[in-house]
Amino acid sequence: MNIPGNRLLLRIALPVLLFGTAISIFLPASLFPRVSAIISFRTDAMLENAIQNAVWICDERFNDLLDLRMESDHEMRQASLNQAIEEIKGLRSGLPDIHMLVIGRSAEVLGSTLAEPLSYPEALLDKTQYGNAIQQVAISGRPYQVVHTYFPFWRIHIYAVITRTAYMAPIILAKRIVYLAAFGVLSTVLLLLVLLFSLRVNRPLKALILATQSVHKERPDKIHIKGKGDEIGSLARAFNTMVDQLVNDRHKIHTIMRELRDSEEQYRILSEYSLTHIAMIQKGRLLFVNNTMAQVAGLEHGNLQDQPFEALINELDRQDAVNRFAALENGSRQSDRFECRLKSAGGVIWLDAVATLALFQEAHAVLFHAVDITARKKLEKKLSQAQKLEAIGTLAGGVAHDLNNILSGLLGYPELLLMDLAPESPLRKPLLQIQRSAQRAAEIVQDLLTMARRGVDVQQVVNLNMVIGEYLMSLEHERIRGAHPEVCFKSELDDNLLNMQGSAIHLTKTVMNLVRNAAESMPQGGEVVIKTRNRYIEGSGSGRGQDDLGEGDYVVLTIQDGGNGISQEDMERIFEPFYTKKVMGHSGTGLGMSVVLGTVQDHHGKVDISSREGLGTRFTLYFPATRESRVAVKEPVSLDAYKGDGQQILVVDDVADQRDLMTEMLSRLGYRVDAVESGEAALAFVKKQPVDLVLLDMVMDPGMDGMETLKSILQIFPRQKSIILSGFSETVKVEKAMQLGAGAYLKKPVIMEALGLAVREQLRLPDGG
Amino acid sequence: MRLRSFYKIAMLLLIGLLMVSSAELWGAEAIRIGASLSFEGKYAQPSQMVRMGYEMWVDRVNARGGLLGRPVKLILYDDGSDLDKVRAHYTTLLDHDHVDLLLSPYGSPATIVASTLSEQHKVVMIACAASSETVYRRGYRYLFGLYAPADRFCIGFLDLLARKGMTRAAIVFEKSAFHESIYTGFRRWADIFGVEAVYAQDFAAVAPHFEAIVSKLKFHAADALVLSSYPPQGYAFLRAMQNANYRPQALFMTITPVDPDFYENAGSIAEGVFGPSHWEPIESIPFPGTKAFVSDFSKRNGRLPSYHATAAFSTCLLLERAVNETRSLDQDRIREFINRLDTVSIMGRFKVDESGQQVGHNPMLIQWQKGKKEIVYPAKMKTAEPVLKR
Repeated sequence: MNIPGNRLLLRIALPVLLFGTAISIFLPASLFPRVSAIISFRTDAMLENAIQNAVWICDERFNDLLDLRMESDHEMRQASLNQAIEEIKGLRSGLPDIHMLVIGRSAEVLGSTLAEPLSYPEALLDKTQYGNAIQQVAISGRPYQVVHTYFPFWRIHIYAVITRTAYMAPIILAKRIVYLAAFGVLSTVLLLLVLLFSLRVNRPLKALILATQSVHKERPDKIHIKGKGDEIGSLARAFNTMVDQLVNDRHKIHTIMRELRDSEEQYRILSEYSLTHIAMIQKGRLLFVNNTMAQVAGLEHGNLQDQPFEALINELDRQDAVNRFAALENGSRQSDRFECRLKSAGGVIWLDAVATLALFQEAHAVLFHAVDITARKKLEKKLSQAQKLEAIGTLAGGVAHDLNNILSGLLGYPELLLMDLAPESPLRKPLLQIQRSAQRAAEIVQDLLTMARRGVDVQQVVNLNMVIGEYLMSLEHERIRGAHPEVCFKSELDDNLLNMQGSAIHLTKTVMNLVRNAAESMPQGGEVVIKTRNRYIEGSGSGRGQDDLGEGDYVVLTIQDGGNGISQEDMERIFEPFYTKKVMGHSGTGLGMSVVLGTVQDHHGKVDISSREGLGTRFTLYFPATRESRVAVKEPVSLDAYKGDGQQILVVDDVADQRDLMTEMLSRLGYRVDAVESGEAALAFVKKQPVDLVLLDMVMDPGMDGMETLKSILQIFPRQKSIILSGFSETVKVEKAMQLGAGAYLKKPVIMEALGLAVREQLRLPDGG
Repeated sequence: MRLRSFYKIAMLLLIGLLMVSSAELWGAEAIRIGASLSFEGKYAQPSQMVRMGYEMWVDRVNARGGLLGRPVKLILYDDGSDLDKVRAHYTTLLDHDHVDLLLSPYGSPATIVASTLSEQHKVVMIACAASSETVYRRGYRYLFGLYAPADRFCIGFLDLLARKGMTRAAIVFEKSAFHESIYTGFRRWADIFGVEAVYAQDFAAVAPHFEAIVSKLKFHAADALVLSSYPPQGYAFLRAMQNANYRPQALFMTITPVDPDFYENAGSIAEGVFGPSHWEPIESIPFPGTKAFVSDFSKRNGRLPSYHATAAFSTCLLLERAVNETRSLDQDRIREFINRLDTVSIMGRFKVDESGQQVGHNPMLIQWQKGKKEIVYPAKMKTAEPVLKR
């Protein structure tokens, strides 16, 4: 702020100047007549004095005559008159501007000091017969001021005259002096006024203004003004007192503000950094939201006005929330707790909210506190799904065990029969059809087990490119291609794709399921692209959807189509078992995607789905890569290569059909086979007659199961060789049995080759190996 | 006791010495000075002043050791303003009392009578109260005048009138030598100053008809009036004027307004009245002895002196000086001394011409202004400006 100039001084001095100027003009004008009168009086007095002196002279001369008693002597009388006239004329020497004039009784000029002769003395006499009043008379055409007297002894008229110019000269001079003096006095007074005002008022005022402008400072300036007894001094003292008070108040305010700021900061931090979602709503409008709430809702702090709170609520919960808030704001309720979904840029956020009635700016408001329970909701959902899967798994496991036992016969016996039939036998085709149907049933059972995450062996080192390649060459893919001729299948496989540990069968199944789904999603035709690539994922996740993957190399499989896409609703349930949009039993079992998910999870991988309805879907599967080399693919083995040599094998299975099938197959392989129905029987058998190998079913009921039986046998014959059989993946028990000393594990239904190879491999091992 | 006896003896010796001295002084033959004054009658008022002046001088001269070492004895007779008695008293003084020195009576008429006898006896008389030229036109050698001549009394008044342009004047005067001299002087000086005498009227001292005179004055409506009379007639005339509601613009009176009590006696009509005066008891008058005289006179008599008293006292001082200077009571020597004398007394300059008439000074003009007597003429002696209503 600039200090204004000398405005106050101007405002005061200017009127004074104008007033003073007016006074200096009008006052002399009003005074001048008096001054003129005084000067005129002085000049008149000089004239009168001259006349009186003249009279005095005449008196003297006349008294001389009287004293001498010569008043009647003509000569003396004339001599005295002459002397008096000369003396009167001599008066001018002391009064240079005044002329003396003596006129006799006959109007003759007896004496004159005027330069020019008097033209008409009679006229002068006419105007001044007696009396001695000052008159203005023209003498020889020139104006004169005249004072007259008459001296009767000599009958003479005496005049003291002064020219009008000389008469007025001192008046004019006085007029000039008066004006000059008035101007000088006015100027001096004004100068003094300005000086005094500047010193006494303006300067202190400026100091006061400067000090006032420094009020914003931490320590405002004080005023030091001389002359402390006047009003300015009083003002300065009052200002200084105010400054002291201001400093004290400011200090207090600063302290309070600091405390308030700290407090506000605490509350702000508490609020802003709270994981709780906090908002204040009044009349349905947002007054305040904290960071957490704003980030979730995509709001800006400064742009809350006129934001309806209900717009943040998911449509499904909106009306409920509005009703609850209305109840709070109208005072029907004091607080409320409820769950609601919030719209968020990242999707729907589940909140566990507490709404409380509060008073803000003398009006009801609702204080909204909520915690994000989305994760909990997901967990709950997962838990529900897990429980569902568990139930399905348990069901599937149980069914699979029984089915596998059944299927073991359907698979095994045709195989045995085919071995005996001539190639041209008309029974061979039906047997083969039986065997394929059994094989298909076994696959379904295997899908069930896979979905239930049982029985998946992911220990193999495989290369996904080879898996895909084999699939694309398989009959299954041919069938799909045949079913969808309008679909073009394209593979873009990374030649340097890393190996991975996994189950080739399950991986193939996964690829097949995804390819089939892709093809089915494009009834009008389109392109299905199968891609593989390597990818290194950072620890913190290098891309969307990979947050739950650990850091490392990954083999990535992408299957993309341009089909109908998947709706949001379907997306949420896509992995649910038996959830399918297809005709159950016609084109799907409702287990495809569950198998995919189960396979991925068994491989410690992750699946991402990106789909837009009408545009297509892309599945991206991540599998941890391995640097291990892939095991060479076993070549098909001939029967002779795994035939036995009469070794004694004990089959332990609680299912008679299974015992019979195993016995038949092992017998065909050249082994001596005994079979018992339980673990206790097996234990008794081996105690009585040692065997080279025990083929032990893991699940037997009632009595000892396979694990317990093996443990008991090993307690008697620690070097006893054994192979474990199971209808479904009892993973934990199998692992324990392997740790106890079981040599191999075979899943039911068992084909002859697998059985022969496993038995021969165990028997080739050294004892106790 | 011894001390008391000593004091008694000392006091007796002192008293004895004083008695011896006094016996030596007063044992000498006293110088007798005589005069006749009017204790009563129309001259009584100014005569009273003259008497106080004579007596005061006698006291002072005797206090100074007398005259020529002899005490002075004043012999006064009361003539009752009667000229016959004046003649008789002076005859007595000269023939019977054989006075050594003679003092004058009051007034020109009495002085004419008294001076006739003193001239016959060749005794010097200084007339202290006679200004009429008639007194001095008789060729007397032993008569001297102290007053300026009466015909000069109107100079100042007429001069002022003329200067103010008041050119019409009237005169009323008593039939007597003094007042006739006043009239003569009035006529002369009015002519000199250009003042016209529009009316002149004399009146007899006895039973004058002032009302008729005032009526005529009103008729003539003169600017100024000169009234010359002795005090009784003067006051009477003023009363007549008052009665007639007549007052000219300027009023001049002889003798009457000189009295210090004039203002009280005359009342409001006294305001502005002019009058001739030979002297006034004003301390500013620059004559030697004036201040002391006024002071002593006032103490002695309880009132201020008029010029009559001063003239009487001054006359005595002149005689005393002449006797002392000549150291003789010889009248011829005293006469010669006075003839040559040119001095300044408390009355002013004293100088006489060959006729014995005073030529040393001219009369002043006084005017009563607001109860006070002011000198208004001549200019060099005036104490106030004259007030003339025109």
